Parts: sequence; structure tokens; C-alpha cells
Amino acid sequence: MQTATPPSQSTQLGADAFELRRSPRHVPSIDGRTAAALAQPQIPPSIPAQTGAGTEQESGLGQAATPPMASRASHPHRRVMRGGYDETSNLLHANKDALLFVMAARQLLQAEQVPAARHLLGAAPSHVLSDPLIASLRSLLSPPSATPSRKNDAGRSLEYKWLRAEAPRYRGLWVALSGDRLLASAATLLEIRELLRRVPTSERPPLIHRVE
Amino acid sequence: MSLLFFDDRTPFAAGRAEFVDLPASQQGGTAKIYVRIEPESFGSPIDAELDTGATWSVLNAEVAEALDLLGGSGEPLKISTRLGEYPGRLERIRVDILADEGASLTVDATVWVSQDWPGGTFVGYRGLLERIRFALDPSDNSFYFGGL
Repeated sequence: MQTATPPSQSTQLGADAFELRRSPRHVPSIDGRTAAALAQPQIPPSIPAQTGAGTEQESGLGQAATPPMASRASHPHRRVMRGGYDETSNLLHANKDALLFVMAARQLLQAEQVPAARHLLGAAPSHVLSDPLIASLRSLLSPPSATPSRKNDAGRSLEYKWLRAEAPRYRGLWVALSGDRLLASAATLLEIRELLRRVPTSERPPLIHRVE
Repeated sequence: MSLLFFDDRTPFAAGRAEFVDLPASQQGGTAKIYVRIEPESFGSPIDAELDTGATWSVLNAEVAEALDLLGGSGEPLKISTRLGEYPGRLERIRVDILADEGASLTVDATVWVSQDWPGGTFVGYRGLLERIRFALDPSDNSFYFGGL
């Protein structure tokens, strides 16, 4: 069940694997065509055509038009093929004004200006806000909400003690731990979940950790 | 129940969990702080690296696949990392931040997923940490957290 000698191969990821490479003081901007379109008379003047200064202000999009958890299932027509990342496919369903807002918001997102994107979408006129694509994007970008939960996972000290001592031998692998016991290790999450189905379970699920 | 308070006795954090700090690589390097989360219906707690410098939280590709998130219709977004540039999507999911003491926290969060992402799971700022108070006590590896 358990790998006695971990394979030497491992997925070595550098430190701070996800630390973003930011260009210094990169100020996002909406391209000229989009900015010009957004400046049409039907758009309230409060919408920033150019963003940058003051973009850290939140827009207060707490109440999304579409329930967050329902958004994936409620728009099957926009579902894309597995693994596909076609950025334009779902735009075909949007009206012209909504399309402009989506394009502008996407530019801001790509520039990591999330508050500015929220602000832009929050300030859209009502006929744009009612567009399903805009509603979905607003929902997705709305600030997270946190609620207390009764779920408890007390006492993983033994698992952590094991990780500190043994993890270097299992680099690149998934490990499943219960107390100071290694229940299983495997190269893939799928494998380790399969192995765990055959292990007598204790009253609580094991801690799963991918050793980097 | 609150575990940390401001001077005026308003609560700062209602949950506490032990975190584990592990070296970034076999050669050593800066220790990385991992906190325990359970994304949506995953069924087990997993460790996620706490990375306040990351714009978005990220799920390991295999975790995302297990949650059936890779075929979703979320917002396409390409991100640039030390491991390279990757296309992916933003998806909205529930993430539990698990407590040893006090209250755990269920966060309706936005996370980035990609089938091409070769890295681990990260708890980042936008879409998750931005509405959570948190503090670290390295004297006993405590991670305190609570909703705003």
C-alpha cells in the first residue's frame, strides 16, 4: 500500500512557484478602441475609461445578479469544451454594449486590476447589467464572502511532525496521512484516492499533501 | 467564540489552526507556510501554500480535476508565474479554511484553475484572503483567521 522507497524523480518547483512576475508599476489601460466605445453617451461618465489611480477602491459588488454557485450550471450554452480556453466563444451571446464592458473588464483582469474591473462592471448601465455574461462576470469577480462553519479539523500535529521529518523522501508525490501514519503515497492524486478507498478509514479523513 | 480581539474587545479572529512550514526545495530555501483547506466537495483536508503575493488562489490541476472544475465555463485568464505563463479560468467555489480551535470559515471564493498548471495549491489574496482577517504566530505555528 505504501511506497517504501519513494522514486527519485520528483516535480521540482522553484521557491514561490506562484509568485507573480509583476512588471514594476505596471499601469493598466484599456485600449483606445474600447475606451472610445465606453465613452459613448449611453455610458455614465463615472465609468473610468482609463484606469490606474484610485483603482483600489472596491465597488461593493457583494450582491451578484447570479448566485455564484449556480453560475456554472445555469449557463450551459456558454460551456466550453473540456480543456479549451477560447476567450471569445461566449462573447457571441452578449449584446454589443455588454461586449465592450466585458472586453474592458478582461483587459483590467489581465493587468491584475481586479478592483478596477469590479468598479467598471458595477458602474455599467442597467441594460448592460442585465446581460447574462455581465451578470456572470460580476458574480465571479464579486468579493468573497466568509461565514463561520462548524466543521472542525482539530489536531494535525502528528501529520505535520511526519511531514517535517519525512517529506524530503517523498518529493513530487502525494501523501495521505493519519496521525503519524503514512496511509498511502502515489504519483497522482487519482491513484492516492483510489488507494485510500481500500484503506480502513478512521473517524475522520486523512490529510492529503503534495510534497513539493 | 473568538480567539483574538482588538483593543476594544471586538473580535479579530474566531478560528485557529496549526500551520506547517516546510522548505521550498530539497536544497533548502525559504520555508513555505501551508494552511489547511478543504475545497468544496473534495472530502479531505489538503495543505495550501499561503501566498499573499499571489493575485488569485490557485488549485493544483489534479485537485481541480477531482472537483470537475477544469471543464467549467468560468472567465478565461492567463497568468504569469515563475513556472511560466499559463491559460486557465476563474471559477467560483466554496473553500473551507479549517480550524483546530474555534470556528472554521467557509469562503465563497474565486480561484484560478488550469489543466496545464504544474504547481501546487495556493491561497492568494483576491477572491479569498481579501475578506479575511488573519495573523500568524510563529512561536507555536498558529494561523488565526476570521471573517470581516
